[in-house]
Amino acid sequence: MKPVLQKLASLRLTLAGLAVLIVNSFAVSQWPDAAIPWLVLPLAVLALNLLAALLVRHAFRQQAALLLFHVGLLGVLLLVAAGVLMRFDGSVEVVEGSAYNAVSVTDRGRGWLHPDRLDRVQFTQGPVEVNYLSGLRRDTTHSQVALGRADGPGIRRDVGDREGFTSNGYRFMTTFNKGYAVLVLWRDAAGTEAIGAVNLPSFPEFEWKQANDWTTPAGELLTLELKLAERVPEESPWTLSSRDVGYEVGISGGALAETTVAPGEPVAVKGGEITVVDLRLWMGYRIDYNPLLPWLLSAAFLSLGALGVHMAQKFRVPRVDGAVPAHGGEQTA
Amino acid sequence: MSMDVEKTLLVTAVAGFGVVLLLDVLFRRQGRPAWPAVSGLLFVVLGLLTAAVAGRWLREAQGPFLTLYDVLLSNLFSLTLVYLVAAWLVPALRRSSAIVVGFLGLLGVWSLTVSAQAVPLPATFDNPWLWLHVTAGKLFLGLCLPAAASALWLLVRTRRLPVEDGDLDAAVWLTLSLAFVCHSFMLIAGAIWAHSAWGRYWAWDSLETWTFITWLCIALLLHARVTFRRMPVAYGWSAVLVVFGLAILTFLGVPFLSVAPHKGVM
Repeated sequence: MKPVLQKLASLRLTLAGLAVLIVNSFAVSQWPDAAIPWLVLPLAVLALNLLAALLVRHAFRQQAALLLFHVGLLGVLLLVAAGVLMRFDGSVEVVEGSAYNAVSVTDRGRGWLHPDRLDRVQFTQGPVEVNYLSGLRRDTTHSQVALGRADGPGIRRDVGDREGFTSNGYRFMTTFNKGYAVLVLWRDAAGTEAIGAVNLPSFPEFEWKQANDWTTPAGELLTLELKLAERVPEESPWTLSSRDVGYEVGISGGALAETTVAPGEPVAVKGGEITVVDLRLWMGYRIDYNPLLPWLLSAAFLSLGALGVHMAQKFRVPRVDGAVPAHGGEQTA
Repeated sequence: MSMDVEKTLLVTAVAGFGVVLLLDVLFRRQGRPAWPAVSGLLFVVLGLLTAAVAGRWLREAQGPFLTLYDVLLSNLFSLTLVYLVAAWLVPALRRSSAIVVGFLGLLGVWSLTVSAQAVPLPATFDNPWLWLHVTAGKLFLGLCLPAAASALWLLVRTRRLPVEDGDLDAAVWLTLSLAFVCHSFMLIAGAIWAHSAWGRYWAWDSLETWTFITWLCIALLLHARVTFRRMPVAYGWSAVLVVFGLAILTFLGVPFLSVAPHKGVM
């Protein structure tokens, strides 16, 4: 067993593993989708190599800081791997006044061992304000949320660019992605009502095409286009919010001739009528899940601290100016 | 401070590097100790650079993070400062001052050729970890420079290690090892910052990849030095130069050449 461990602990194997990892890291940057296959083999070899070295190398036993650095590094490797297996990455758009719905989440990637608990997250979106400096430079974002059940008291939080919120292990961070949503009331011929929101493209990024398609409960495809009373001021500070916004909505498609309506003005469509009742904002959140991050951070800092101590011990030599050549510490060219 | 004053300070500092280099070479040719004059003038240049960085910072109300000009200007400041401190603590590093100053002069000339127009720092990026990340990065590069300059000095001077240069060889590995510690911290702080700014701690964008490759190369070099103890010393010095070249490419090339999210955000 020991000869096998000795071979596995070889520094030459470390060098080979690092060299392959260097080449493969470059490959990953070119083909990011293949990151896991490119990295698993060299990292696994390096992890085994390190584990074997920790067991058989005397140098580690004599240098506690070096040992701790490498143990921490091994911990980082394992935690990164476990984190990749458990992670979730996604996004969601939530309209002011409405509750988060897990069905609306866009899945951008998840690990094989991810425990899907997105449906346990509960929050209601409150008012959103995004401040802009002159020249349409985005400044601070304020998104109010009430954590907890929609019908409960909730814990109010003001989140933004620098501070998100966490629920059931999922971290929600606001993004640059946000825009208007038209709240539409549908009333069918029997008088049954339903209300829903039609999210329009990101604003002000796509100020020039604030339109989206919507299929009514009767199955008619309509296009709703937001017509704002005022353009976004480009040369002065400005705040994006849904308060005091003058607007009309253009409705077209199906059997309907193109028409522009004011809020509260009903329009007859196939199978019933629709009324634009309000204009709200939707906020785009990035969602990520990795319960091992605090441990990963701890392992990384433990490793870094140990490396610092090791280097300090290794190079702790008395400062002797006499070690420098006699003519003032310099060589003539 | 107006842009004109800032530019004047920078031009004067770059000219100062030229004067320091001339004096350094002149003193060495005459066999006189150059360090007192070199270090004294470098302090004056550092003062000019400090004023330029501080003036820009106050005027733009943000740190020098985004543009190539920001990065060059702040690196001129940090590289000079770190070299002065390192050479004060490890006198052997003073021997390669001409190479260090020559390199700083070239960076200075480069900084004069790029646009000084500021770009606003996005609100999401303004986070204390950005400061720690950038500071660690500057310390890393600042320690790499004397390591590489000393390695080049040793390579030019001789391919074998003369007894009197043993302390300089040790200084090369000391500064590179400390640079490795700073690089490690830069990676950690950068990951925390990225997690806050973009919601992920690592994404294999060009800058992240090349930074990681630089870290791996230093790890490879430090392990190779232990593995091949009888390796000719010149191989190690050459490898230090390669690592420095890679670091410069990573810091001053990749962020401004790639179209990845990290572009211009260093």
